[in-house]
Amino acid sequence: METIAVVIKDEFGLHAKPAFRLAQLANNFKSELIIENNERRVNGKSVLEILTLSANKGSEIKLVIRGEDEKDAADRLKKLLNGSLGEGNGK
Amino acid sequence: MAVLVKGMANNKNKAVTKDYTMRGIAASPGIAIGRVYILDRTKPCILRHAIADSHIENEIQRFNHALEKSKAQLMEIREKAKKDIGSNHLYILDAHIMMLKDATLVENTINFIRGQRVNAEWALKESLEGFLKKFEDISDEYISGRKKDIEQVVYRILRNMIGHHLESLADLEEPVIIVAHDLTPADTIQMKREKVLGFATDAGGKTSHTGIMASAFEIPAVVGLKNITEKAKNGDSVIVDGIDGSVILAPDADTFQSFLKKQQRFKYYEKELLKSKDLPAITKDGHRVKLMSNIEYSDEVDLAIRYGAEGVGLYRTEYLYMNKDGLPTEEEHFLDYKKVAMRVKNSYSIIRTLDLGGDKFISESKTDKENNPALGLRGIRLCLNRIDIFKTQLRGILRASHYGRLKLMYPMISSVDELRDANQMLEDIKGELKSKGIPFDSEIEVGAMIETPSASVITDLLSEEVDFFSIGTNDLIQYTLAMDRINEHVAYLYQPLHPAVLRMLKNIISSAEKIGIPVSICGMMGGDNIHTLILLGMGRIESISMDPHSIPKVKKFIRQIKYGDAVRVAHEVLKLKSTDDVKKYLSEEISRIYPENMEEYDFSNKSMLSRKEDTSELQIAG
Repeated sequence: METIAVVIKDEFGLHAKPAFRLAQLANNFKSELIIENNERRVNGKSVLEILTLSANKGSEIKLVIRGEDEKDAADRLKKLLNGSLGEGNGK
Repeated sequence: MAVLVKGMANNKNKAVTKDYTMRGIAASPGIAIGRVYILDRTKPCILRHAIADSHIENEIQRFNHALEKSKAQLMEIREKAKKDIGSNHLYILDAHIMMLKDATLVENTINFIRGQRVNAEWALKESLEGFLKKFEDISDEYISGRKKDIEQVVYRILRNMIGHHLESLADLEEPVIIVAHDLTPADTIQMKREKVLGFATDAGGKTSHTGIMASAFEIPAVVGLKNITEKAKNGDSVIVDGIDGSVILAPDADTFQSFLKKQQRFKYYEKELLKSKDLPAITKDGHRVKLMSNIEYSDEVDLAIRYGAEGVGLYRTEYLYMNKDGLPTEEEHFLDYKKVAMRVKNSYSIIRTLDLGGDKFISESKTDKENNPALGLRGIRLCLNRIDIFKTQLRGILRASHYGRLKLMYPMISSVDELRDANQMLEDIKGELKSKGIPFDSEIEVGAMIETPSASVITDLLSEEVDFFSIGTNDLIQYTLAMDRINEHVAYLYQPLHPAVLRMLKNIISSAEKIGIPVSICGMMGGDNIHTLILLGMGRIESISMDPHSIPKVKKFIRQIKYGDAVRVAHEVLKLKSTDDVKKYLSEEISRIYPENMEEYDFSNKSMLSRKEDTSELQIAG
């Protein structure tokens, strides 16, 4: 199991564009991705579920990745969160 | 919104029989007369059927097949869109394609078919409703706004399953008036322009997608009619009055005749006005002023030029920030301004930096909501507070300045410090670009909007920091009269002809003339001939910038008057004591100097009013 903790820094929170990028990437891997925001947990491969997280700027979210390619998936997700995905900062 | 029932309407039946008038927002001027074509983008009717175990796999296959078909349709639209329009709309289509394949939506539907042994349509409808419910609980306006996208996508799948042919505007054979709840970019991309006489929609404001497309295509449109899709039937005759913002369903013979006349009058009026479009705006006694266009999005430039604009006096860049996810990138700014720079030849365009309130950006904390956004963190204050947003835009403007003549203007200036800070940032970026070898106009002129009372009394100080002034009359009126333009209780105080406003204008214009700094007018005051005499007569004005549709009318007026009269009238009004006195005096003078103007008056002014009402809709989806 791999986990990534992120504070959302994007002005508009985890909105459509970042949510799409996240789900798109997650769908390239076999591992499952669960995203947690406070009490809520959603399937990170569903863009609609990510949107229902309503993660605003400043929210601390956690990504939990489980499966055979979890290491690889975690690396790529971190890169996405650090880089092009708004100003997120994967830790 | 009030619905007027004229003539012998039969109220017992739900269907409209005769001459039924509905009011909305005028989004694009002109009169369209034709037959209703309802573009049905609403919910298809779905029934629940139990299915036999042996049919379950078949049902799932049907669902998957509809998904594939829907995806193929959207991909086709996307391909077409790529050729026809910019990347802004492509993003929406990409989002729809992705929602179509959404892991949870697909999984829930399939589980539902298996678990409940129901038909695929019902299962999909149930999983859609599950999502909609979750979205309803979200207070964030932007996210709850995505509900519309999910519905559109799911309805497409449902239609493909039921076997309903999903009509598209590409299939239109006869010219019609499109009646719809709202139009999506997918609709307007496919539209055959020559087959569309007019638009009438339930939803939307002047800056909605439908409003902007209609205005760019010069198709009469009324939006925000609330429930026209319930009242109108396919094939009904209908009149869309994009001047007044009304729609008449099933007009009776008299109404039909009178609108036919109005349509002819309007066409004639526009044709007449456009005849003079290449002539200069010059008074009978040889006083020349430039008439320029205010634009809200870059494609409006073509329309402005067709209406005889001698350049762009104000490009409000807020549209770039609206209806989109996240902030515009430097590249988006650059390409957009470059387009404007390249299309405006032999003249220049003034790009105003972002003028929105902070409340539109700070979405994470609802409690932070400003009580008085007009006096809050907006315009240059927001730009200096959010340097990242500001610098991105400045870079885009500077880079575009290499491709045509651009000027740059800061909104809502109220002190010298603000100008110095903004200019310092501009200099920093110039240095940055220079060191990277990126070309730009190093001599780019910089101006300040004069729209606060404080700016108006320190024009001499401000003039040391900038190359030109532009008076933003809308805000100047709001701040001078201490009235909130959005607050309907004080709307009556929006008085461009208030003696205080007139004195303010006089002071700014005279002092600019004394200092020797060019001053222009932008804002709605410039687009209304009742103000033209005063604005011209107060002093040396470089240009008046207005709504593109107003240019021919103002030009015609200017070509009929004498500068001497303007100077006299501008001098006289300053002696009057009340707004009513000023109005009365002006009407008398105008009808004496230029009697024809009064007849034309009723065409041009109503659309101005509806524009004013609509300012509240200007907001960022974000």
